[in-house]
This record gives sequence, C-alpha cells and structure tokens, in this order.
Amino acid sequence: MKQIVILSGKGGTGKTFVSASLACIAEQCVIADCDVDAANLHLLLHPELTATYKFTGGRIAKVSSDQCTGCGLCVESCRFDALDMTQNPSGGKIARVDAIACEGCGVCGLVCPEKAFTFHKSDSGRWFTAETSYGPMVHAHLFAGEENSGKLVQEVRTKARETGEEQNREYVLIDGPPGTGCAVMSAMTGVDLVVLTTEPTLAGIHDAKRVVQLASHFHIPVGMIVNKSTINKEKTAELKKYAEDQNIQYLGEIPYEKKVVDSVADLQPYVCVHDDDVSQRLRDIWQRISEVVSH
Amino acid sequence: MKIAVASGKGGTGKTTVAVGLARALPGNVQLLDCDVEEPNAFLFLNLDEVRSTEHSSLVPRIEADLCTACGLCSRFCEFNALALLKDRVLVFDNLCHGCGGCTIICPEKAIREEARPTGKIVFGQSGPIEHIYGDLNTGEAMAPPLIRAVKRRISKDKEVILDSPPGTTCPMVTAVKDADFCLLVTENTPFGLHDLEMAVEVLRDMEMPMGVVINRSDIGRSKVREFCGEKEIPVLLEIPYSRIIAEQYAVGVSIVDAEPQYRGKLVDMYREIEQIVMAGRGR
Repeated sequence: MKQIVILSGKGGTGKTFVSASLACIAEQCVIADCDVDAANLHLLLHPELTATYKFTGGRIAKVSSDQCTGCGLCVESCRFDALDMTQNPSGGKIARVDAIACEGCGVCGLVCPEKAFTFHKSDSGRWFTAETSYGPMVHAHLFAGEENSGKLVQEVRTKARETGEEQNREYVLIDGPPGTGCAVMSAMTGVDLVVLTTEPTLAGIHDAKRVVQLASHFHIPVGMIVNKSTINKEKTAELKKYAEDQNIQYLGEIPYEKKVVDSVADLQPYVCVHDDDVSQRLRDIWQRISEVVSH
Repeated sequence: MKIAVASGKGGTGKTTVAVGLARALPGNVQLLDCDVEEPNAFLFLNLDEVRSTEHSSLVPRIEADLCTACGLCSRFCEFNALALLKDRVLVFDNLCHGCGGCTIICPEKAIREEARPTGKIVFGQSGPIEHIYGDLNTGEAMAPPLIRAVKRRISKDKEVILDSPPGTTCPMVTAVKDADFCLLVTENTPFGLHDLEMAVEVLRDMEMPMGVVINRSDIGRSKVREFCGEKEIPVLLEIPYSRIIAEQYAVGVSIVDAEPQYRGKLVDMYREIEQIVMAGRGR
C-alpha cells in the first residue's frame, strides 16, 4: 500500500480540490483528511459516518480555591504565560489558569507549596471513520484553541492505514494541512510521495520551497502540481524550472478557472461534475502519481 | 491599538489585508508576521535595514556524572522528551516544550538548560512600517514559542497589526491573544464559511471583539453574509474578485498599489474598528 500526501505550505492553493478529484479518479484509496485544524474534504466527499471517536489531547491545570494561598510561585515558574493572579471573592489573591495557554506541563503543581493544583485530560476533538462513494474515509475535528494537532493527525493516519490493510486498498491519499510545522510533519512522515500543490505567486513559491526543504529533511520524494497556472505564466515557468533543478517530478498544471471555484460551491469533486480539459489534466496527474509511487 | 488579522482557512487573503492596512494607515505602523511556519508579508514590503537575531528554545542537558538514573525527570515530563535507559537518561530535543520542570524535579541537580536555536526573528523597515517576523527552522515542530518571542517586540506607541497563521488551534490563538480586535478574512465558499464558523467560535471563547472581511466576495455563492448577520458580526469590507489584484499579488505588489481605491477603504475600515473597540462592541 502506498501513502501519498497533498501539501502546499501556503493555504488556499487548492489542496482539497485536488485531493477530492484524485480520490474520485483513483477509486482504490483510503482517504484521510489530515487538516485537522480546518478540515474541509468532507464537504466535497459527503462521508457517511460509521464511527466517532473521542480525542483526548494534553492536560490542563486546575487550581483549588481552598488550597491556593496566592503566593505567586506558580506564576513565576510558568513558561507559557498561562497563570496570573486575580482577586478571589474574599479579598485575597488566587492563581488563575488560562486554559488555552496551558500546556499541562505540571511545573505549577511541582512548585506549589500547598499542592493546590490538579490536572485533567482535556476533551480536545473527535475523529471519524466513514464511507464515501469513492472509498473509506477517516477525518477529524480538533476543537477550537486546542493543541496536539500532530498527535491527532497520527491517529487519523494510523486508522487510515489499518483500514487500507483490512480492505486491500492500494493507496492512502492524505489531504494535508498548510504550513510546515507539527501537523505537517505528522502528515508527512513515512509517506511514499509528497504531492506539492502550489500556485505561481511569490508567496506560493516561497512556501513551496520550504515544504521541499522539509521533505528532503525526511528523505521523501516530491512531485509538483502548479494550480491556477494562468495567473502568472513567468512564475509558472519558474516553478517548473525549480522542479527540474531539484529533481522534483513535475506532475502538471491546472489553469485558473472560475468553474473550479464553482465546483467547490456545488460541493462536488471537480472530475465528478465536469468532463473537460481540467478533468483530463487531473486524470493525467493521477496517472503520473501512480507511476511515480509504483517505482 | 493592536489588530490581529486571522482566518480559519488558509489562502483567503490575510496577508493581503494585513499588508494593505499597514500601507494605508498614516503614521508609524508596526506589522508583525506571526505565521512563523510560512512568513509571507515581507515579500510585499521591499524591506530596508534588514537584520535578524537567533531564536532559541531551552532544552535540558544532563550531567552524566551527577545523574543516578532515578527516572523522576522522565516520569515528570508530559511530552516524552526524556527517556530513562538502564543507566542514563536520553533527551529528545524536538519533543521538549521547554517547561523547565525536569531541572526543578531532579534531586541531584544534574540537569541544566541549554539554548538550542529553533529559528530567527527578522527585523526590517519599509518606509514608515516597522516589520518583524519569525522564521522557524526546517523540521522544528513548535511555532508558539517563536510567535511569543515575535510578540514580545510589540511597540506600545505604534499602531500594531498582527498577521496570524491559518487554522483555529494553538498557533492561531497564540498570535491573536491580547489583541484589541481580530479581523477575520474569509471567502464566500463552503470552505471559507466552514472555517469562519470555527474561527468565530474560538474568538468568542477568548472574548475577542471581531469583524469580517469577505475577499473575492462575488465568487462562491455561500452564506457568509447571512452567517455574520445571525452572529451579529460586522462585515467591515468586501473585496470583489479582481484579476488585477490577483496578478499583482503574484509578483508581490500590495492591494493598495494594485487598486489604489482600497487605500481609503482600508483607512475607513480602521476607523470603524476604532469605534467598535472604544464602544466595547463586536464581542
């Protein structure tokens, strides 16, 4: 089974549009939406949920108002600006935890002379298994303000891989998150190919190069799609040249078309509602991807 | 006043709005790019006087002579950054959050902290705009410490604009925290609306006043306006799709140079935000 992740660095370059169409063309995929911060692929693929799982992320500190004497040692020791002192109703001072900033490290509990801190696992999100017309899907929702997105991405990927093995699927197709940090690294480790979906803009190129750096750091091969290629032909040529120089497989170009945005508004994978030049390009791109990963 | 520019979905136009606003405002402006995984604002600014400082995170180092391999530190570490072997402790720098707990708990005082470079902070000037951004090193997982370090450079006597990373989790919250107002840039597509809903949820939790900019507002046929109406969130600016803006964006030209009428519109928006913040509305 081959694992393929769609990444971009910069947001809004068309990862989800590409992922949905490739899932539709490939037929033999398990689909994993690993943009757990802002999952969108389900809006196009209309999964029917088969199970929902709870994701418990990190811990959060809690102060006992009976025990806190307001000494302030915890505030001094916290490296995450997650504690401050506030007035309690009886006029004294009491520590207050900023639940969003708290990383649950436990240092406040360690330094507190009154043992006033307890720690609770936070209910941080949900992840789902589902069926779509194009194959089984695993996706997730990390609650607003939560951390540990990398850990949730791992859970989604593990389940997707297991499902693929059970059902003898050929591919795990992963719709990745933007950026180059924690969640991207989790989405990328151990895959067979990074499909870098970029756009011919200064920002698109800048961010794509950072993803290439990251992929080479993990020794993962990269293929490139230039989406909205007609926005700037020189920059498209620059990307193509960059791909050649870096030994990146150039998978193809997709012109900027309002029809693409409309297909998203219609909540459908593009290739399922259009049989045109853009669809053909997407089919050619999938053909190249499947050749690259089978080598 | 400190204004954060955020969005749930990436690529909706945060940087376009943040740079446009910085360029449009008269007087001294500080523009901080808090998207340390993919900083982009500098591409639109032609920076002068560029300099940078290294950013480091503290990681534990263990004195082998003093360590008795008692295992207290590895049991304490919430992030599995310390592993107890038979006769010593192994440190995984990448997993360390830098809380410092291991140095406190070690009964032998065998752990000290060492600065490990994880990125840099870059400073530059673009006319009256002071620009600062964070640049996380390849392979580093943790954006929030660098975002906090960038924000420690916030100037008290300038208008401050914070360009936030996308998403609605930890890095975005770190970037917008303590701002006076958050502008959410969205587009009128199902993706834009879905991610806007999540961003609104997190800002409501933070009790942060907010307003919305709809970019490429004539494309997409979603119900962003209706959603904002229901939630009583002001729509402060609509930017219809413009081939000129898109083409100029591609080569690093700001919206206020591509379509000069946005200079006035952005200033008007800023004045409206001032009114909202002063009146304590928009939460």
